[in-house]
Amino acid sequence: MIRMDQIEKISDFEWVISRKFRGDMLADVRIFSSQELLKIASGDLSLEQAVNASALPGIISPMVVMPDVHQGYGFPIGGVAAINAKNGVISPGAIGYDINCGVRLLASSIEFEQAKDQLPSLATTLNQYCPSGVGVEGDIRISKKELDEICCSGARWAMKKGMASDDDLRRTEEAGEMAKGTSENISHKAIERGLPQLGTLGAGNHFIEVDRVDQIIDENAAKIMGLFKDCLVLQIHCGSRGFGHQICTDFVQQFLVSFRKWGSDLPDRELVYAPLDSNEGKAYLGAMQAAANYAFCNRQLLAHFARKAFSDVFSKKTHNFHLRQVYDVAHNMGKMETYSINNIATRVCVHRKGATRAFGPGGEGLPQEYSPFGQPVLVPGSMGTDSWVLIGSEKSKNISWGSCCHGAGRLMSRSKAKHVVRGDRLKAELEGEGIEIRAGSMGGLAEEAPQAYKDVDEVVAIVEHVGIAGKVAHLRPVAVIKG
Amino acid sequence: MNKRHGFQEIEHTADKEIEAWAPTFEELMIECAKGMISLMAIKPGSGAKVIRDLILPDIENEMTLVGFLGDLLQIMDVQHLVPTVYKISKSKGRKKVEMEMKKFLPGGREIKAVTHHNLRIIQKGYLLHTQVVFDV
Repeated sequence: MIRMDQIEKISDFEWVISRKFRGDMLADVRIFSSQELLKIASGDLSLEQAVNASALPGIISPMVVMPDVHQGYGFPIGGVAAINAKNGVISPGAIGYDINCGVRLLASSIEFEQAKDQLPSLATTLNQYCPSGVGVEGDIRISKKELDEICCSGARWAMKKGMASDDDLRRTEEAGEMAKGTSENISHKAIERGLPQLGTLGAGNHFIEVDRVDQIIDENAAKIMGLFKDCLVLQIHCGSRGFGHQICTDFVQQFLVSFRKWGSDLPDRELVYAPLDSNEGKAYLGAMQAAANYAFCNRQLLAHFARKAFSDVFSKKTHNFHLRQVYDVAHNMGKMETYSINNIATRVCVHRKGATRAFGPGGEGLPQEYSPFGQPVLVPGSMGTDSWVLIGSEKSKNISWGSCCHGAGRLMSRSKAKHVVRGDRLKAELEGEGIEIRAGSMGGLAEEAPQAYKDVDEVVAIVEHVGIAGKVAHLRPVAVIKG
Repeated sequence: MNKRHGFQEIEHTADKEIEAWAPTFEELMIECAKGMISLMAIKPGSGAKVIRDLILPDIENEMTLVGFLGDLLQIMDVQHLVPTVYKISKSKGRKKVEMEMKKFLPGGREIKAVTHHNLRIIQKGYLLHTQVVFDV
């Protein structure tokens, strides 16, 4: 554990663990946090994991830690590492097993008051159309050839099938299609998992949530994003399902076998890596991008099903039942990006694990309408609590590798949450607060209880204070669907 | 708590973790598999038994353990089967795991992957002990 007295205070919301702290560190660890949240983080392995990650070859200082940080395996959740593309490495464990786990936000013009009587029916219909739970397969059957296409073209495959619009793609990070995705080095085991799971939500902390826009803070940005006070919006939190999990599993195993070619010691095996310019590194990069494309396509299909549910429930009540894409953004991803390091444009592989890209005005690859303002940054709270829509800032590129927080961050272990919360009681409580709940497992629901997470408002206040993102809108849940 | 074989869940902020123990490595593999299935809260249905085999390269024990649990997770995810009986044998430098499996009942919780995080198999007295973290 790292003690508070080993962390240097820069300001009320910025802290540093100097690279002098441990001999193998190649970068400082910069933490964006309040003192209170930092104390919580220092109570588990979060900061030690950040220190371990700061020893990855080619890392450029600083290794960044977000206020929603919590202990993961190898690399902390809420960590960002920028690694020089010329002489650096790529680490599957620093991106995560759920490659391109991310959030999509869709907005409607349906006012809450107009819709509130239909919310039970909407929750049930969403639950029916969006398959969720352990071992549950999707209704969309694809061939191996189609899976290969999805690996290359991501959400564009869904457009070809009539399940996505041009606006959906434009308003997705990387336009929903990472250029170097290829199924070339993907195992049969991963393919077996990927084929039946396309268009499914899964279980765990993944969800579909209907929210009411409770407050608009930045009128101008909200208008550009299509967010209006008291109207319904929909969030989809999901990733690359078993396909991505297996790809990461396979490459961690392969890298551990080949590691002796370029390294001798690891602070944690989950930080195993390969040089970006090695055959192994290139193979992982292509497979990781393929899994990212699968995830973009998966969220696109879930959005298509959600639109169908909105149409079924609201088409007879209103003409404005369409769900418009606001944005789709990843929070577990490795991306090649360019930053100015000592006034030299430098290509780096940004490893974001539990961290969201937060480009400001003029950011590379932003859709035309967002380019003057910055990209939407989606920060869901825990189940039953509020969420935030933020906007990326120029400053994020200078201090946090163009990144921001991704959620509230866990506070309590899952086993403890299950001991202190009963799923059925929680469901009743949340429904008493006007939130419709559809959940596959009461135990799973208890693990995701609001009290198991930090306060998302506090997390967002910190990123706003340090200037890596600004507040646009505040969302309040009205229906949650969980596997 | 069974003193010779067993597993228990231990606290982990975001993921799931078990500690398992057994007299031999093969028995430890089985305890870890039982622990993983217990975390998933998956129960076998009443359907017919099927047999599934896994052949594992006999490499370092930690790698073999993660490889076995990962392959079991893959079978569970794809075929929706859960093991009820395990038999592990060793021949020609490889381990063969034979499992009697049944389709599992709906419900349960998802484990995404088996991790190598801080994984060490250590001898404590006459028993082997290990801790495994699962990504959920």
